[in-house]
Formats: sequence, C-alpha cells, structure tokens
Amino acid sequence: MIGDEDGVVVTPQSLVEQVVALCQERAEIDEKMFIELRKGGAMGDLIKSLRKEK
Amino acid sequence: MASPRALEALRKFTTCDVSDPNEETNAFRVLQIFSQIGDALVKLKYPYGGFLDGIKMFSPGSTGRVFGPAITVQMVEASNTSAPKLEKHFVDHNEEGSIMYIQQPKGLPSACWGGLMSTRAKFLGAQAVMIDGRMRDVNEHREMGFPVISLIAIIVCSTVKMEC
Repeated sequence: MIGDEDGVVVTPQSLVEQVVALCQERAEIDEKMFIELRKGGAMGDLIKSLRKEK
Repeated sequence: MASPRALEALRKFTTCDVSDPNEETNAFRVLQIFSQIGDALVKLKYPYGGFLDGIKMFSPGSTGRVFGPAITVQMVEASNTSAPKLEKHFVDHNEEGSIMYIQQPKGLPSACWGGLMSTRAKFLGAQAVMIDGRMRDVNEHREMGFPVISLIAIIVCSTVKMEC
C-alpha cells in the first residue's frame, strides 16, 4: 500500500514490476513536459509531441 | 511475490490521480517525484487503479508518504458474537515496516483508533495506519510523527460496546 497526501493506492505484488516500468516511462515524459512548460511551452503541443499516441 | 528490488523501486513512486483513463502512462532508487502508480494500474486494468477512495492523510501532513505491506483488520459490531476473536488486541498485531489497514463497520459514530493505538503501533515499527472509518487525536499522531489516514477525525472514543 502506498499513501500520501493525494490518497492511497494498493498494488498487488503480482503487478509491482509492471507498475514500476510504466511509472518510469511516464516519469521520463513528465520530466520533459515540466522542463518545456517552465520555458513557456503550450500544453496542447507538448502533449502531442512528448506523449506516445495510443 | 514481487522481488525486493521491484518493491524498493515502487516505494519511490507516489500515488496519483486515477481519474483519466485516457492518460498514458528497476530497479533501484527511482524517484520520489514519480506519481503515476494509479495511472499505471489503470493501464493494467486493475480495478479503480488501486485507489482507495475517501480516505485521506491526517498526519503527518503534506510531506508525508508511506509505503508498506498491509496487515488487514476487519472490525465487527460487538453484537456479532459469531465472528472470530483475536488472542491479543488487534493493535498488537502490528509488524515492523507494515501498514495496518482497518475496516470499521459503516454507520458507527465512534473512533476506532487514537493516540494510544498509534503509540503502540509506532513502537512495533508500523509505517502507518489506514482506516476506512474514524479516528481521533490528530495532534497526538502529528506530534509523534505517526502517519494516520482515515475517513474523518472525530472526538468520540469507542464505547465498550464497540470493542472488537
């Protein structure tokens, strides 16, 4: 179980490794987004360019 | 069973907003700013992204975050005499590094947890307590630095009738 001020999530042991991998991927994208946003980048453009399309 | 390495990596991520199902989303020492555990679980189609709705952190406050395996406690009303009884008080079942998760029967007005409980839990090495229910003594928990997450804080303690 993981809790912080946003709330609590429960992660079954069987999914931990996949969750870590997904979080890592997403964190790298978010880090780039933060950098560009601080420079004044537009949200819509950044989402298109930095996030993978489904 | 997840490997200790993977568990340690998971510890570094924070909880996150699971409300947008369209959001995309090793080892060691990954980082505290990762907030996408809920998103990841939504992607893996885990119900509600693992989010336990309604409970919030009362102690220690904005800097707090906790991580650990759950020890679950289901409380029943005292009138339920068929439920199993524990050989020791449930708070004495806390273990080093774990988080006790308590389910309190719905609709009961009293707190099932307070400063005394946190004192015992902390001594036993618990990381935190999470309660789907009510607790009290928020300031005591904050003073001792023991993380408490629950539905609401109230002032009325359990009566003898509500002991589990």
